Amino acid sequence: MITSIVKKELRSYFRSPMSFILMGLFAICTGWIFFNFLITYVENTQRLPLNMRKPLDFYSGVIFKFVANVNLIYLFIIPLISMKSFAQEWSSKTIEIYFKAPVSDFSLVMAKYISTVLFALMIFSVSLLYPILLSFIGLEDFTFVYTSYISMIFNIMAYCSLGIFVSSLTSNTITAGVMSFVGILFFWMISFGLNISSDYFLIENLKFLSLTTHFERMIRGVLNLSDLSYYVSFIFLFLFLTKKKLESRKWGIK
Amino acid sequence: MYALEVESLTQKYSDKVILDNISFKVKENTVHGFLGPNGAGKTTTLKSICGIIPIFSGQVKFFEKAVDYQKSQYKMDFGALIEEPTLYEDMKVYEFLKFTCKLYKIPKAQITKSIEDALDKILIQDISHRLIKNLSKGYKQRVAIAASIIHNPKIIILDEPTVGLDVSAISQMREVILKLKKDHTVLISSHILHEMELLCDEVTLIDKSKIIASKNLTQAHSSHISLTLDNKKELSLDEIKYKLKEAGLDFVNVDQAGFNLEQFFFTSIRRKDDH
Repeated sequence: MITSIVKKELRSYFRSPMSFILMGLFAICTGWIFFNFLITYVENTQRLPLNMRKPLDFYSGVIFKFVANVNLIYLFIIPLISMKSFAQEWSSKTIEIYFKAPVSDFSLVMAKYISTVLFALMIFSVSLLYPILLSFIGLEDFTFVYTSYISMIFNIMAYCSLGIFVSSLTSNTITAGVMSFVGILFFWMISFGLNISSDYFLIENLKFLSLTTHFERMIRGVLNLSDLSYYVSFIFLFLFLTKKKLESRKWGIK
Repeated sequence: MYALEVESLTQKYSDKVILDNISFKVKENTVHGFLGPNGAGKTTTLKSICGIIPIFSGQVKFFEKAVDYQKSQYKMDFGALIEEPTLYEDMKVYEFLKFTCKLYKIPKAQITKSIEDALDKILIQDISHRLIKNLSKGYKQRVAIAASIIHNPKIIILDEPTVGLDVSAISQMREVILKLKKDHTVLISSHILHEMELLCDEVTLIDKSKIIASKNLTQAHSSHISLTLDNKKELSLDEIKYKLKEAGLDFVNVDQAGFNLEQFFFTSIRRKDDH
C-alpha cells in the first residue's frame, strides 16, 4: 500500500517540469558554490608555507561551508517539494480517493513523507558528484564528508516532516509553501541572538530546540544520542501531528 | 433483504440541523433514487453514509449489519462518487484504475480482470489508454464510477452523476447505471425528476432536512391511481369507486392514470408544508 502511493507520488514529481527545474537549479547553485569554495581554499592555501597547511582547514574551508550552503538552499527547496503533498490533494479533493479506500491515515502520512524525502534526496544526490571529484584529486579521509552528508540527510528528513504537516493544514499550496519556509526558518533561527537574554535555562532550551545546534554538532563529526533523539523526535512529532490532522475529519464519528 | 438502512440519522453543524432524524431503506439489487431540491440534505446524507463526514447521531446498516466507521473494512462494501469526480488528471485511465486497485488491496493476479470488468461495466474500454485530463466531463464521470466499483462493491452510491452532462452523455450514463443494477445496489441522488423516473425502482424524497415520502416506482407505474381531495387525503382506485357509489353518483368507468413522479414530488412537498 505505502509502496504503491510512494511510486505514484514519485511518478507525479517527475511528470512536473518544476522538478527538473529544481534539480537543474540545485546542480547549478551547488556547482557554483563548490567551485568557489574550492578555488578560494586553493588560493588561500597556496599563499601559506607548507608546514602551516592543516588537513582540517580543507574541511572547514570547503566541505563544512559547502554543506551549510546546501542546507540554506534546502530551506527553499523543501517547501517547494512538500507544499503540494497534502494541500493539492485537499484543493482538488483527490484526498477523497484515499478516504474512500481502505487506506489507513498512518499509511497515507508515511507514503507522503517517504516520497517527499526520497525526492528531496534525489535532488541532493546531485551533490555527491563533488566528493567523488575530490577523491580523484587526492582526498583520502572522507570522515567529515560522511558526517556532513549524514547530518544533511537528517536535516532534510526533519524539514520534510514539518513541510508535510504544514501542507496538511491548508488547501492552498502557496500558503503551505510559505508557512513551511517560515516554520523551517523558525527552527533554524530559534537559537540566534540568544546573547540578549541572561536566562541560562531559556538559552539552553532554545539552543536544544534549534535545528542549527544539532546540525552544526553533527557536521563536525560529533554524532551523539542527544542529536539523534532530537531529529527522531522532531520527525515523529510532525508526522504524528499530520496523522492527527487527517484523523480530525473523523472526530465525533460513531 | 435491505442492502442499506439509514436509521434516525441526524447531522448538525454548530446549531444548524442539516439532517433531521431521517430514515430510509434501500432494497438489494435495485436502483434507489434519493430526490430533493438543492440544499435539501442529499449530499450530506450520502457523505454521512460513506463516512466522509462524522455522524452526529443515528445509524447506518449495510446488509443488516451496523457500519463501524472506526474500522476501514466497511469501505469494501460500497463504492461512491460524491459530487465532482476526484481523479488524478495527469494519469491515464488504466493507470489510475490500477492505482485504485492497489489502494483496495486487490491481489496482483486479479488486477487486470478487475480493471477490465470495471471498464466493461462502465462502457469505457475504448478510452483506457487516454490521459484523464483530456477526457470530456461525461467520460471523467464514468472513469470515477469505474474507480469506485473496481473492488466490486455490493452498494454503489452516486451523487448527481448526470449534473453538467450533455444529452448524449446523460443517456450513456443512464445505460451504465441500469447495467450496474444487475450486480449491485445503486443509491443515486438527483434533483432531475425525469431522469430518476427512468432509472429508479424506488425513490425517497427529502426536503428541508427531512424525509417526506418514499415510493416504489415499479408498483406505482403498474397500479397507481390517485385522487387528491380537498382535505389532501389520497384514495385508492377501489376507495374512489366505493365513495362514488356511496354518494349515489353514476359513472361509466374510473380508469387508472400514469404515475407522474414530478406530480408525486410536488404533492408530497405541499402536503408536508401543510402539516
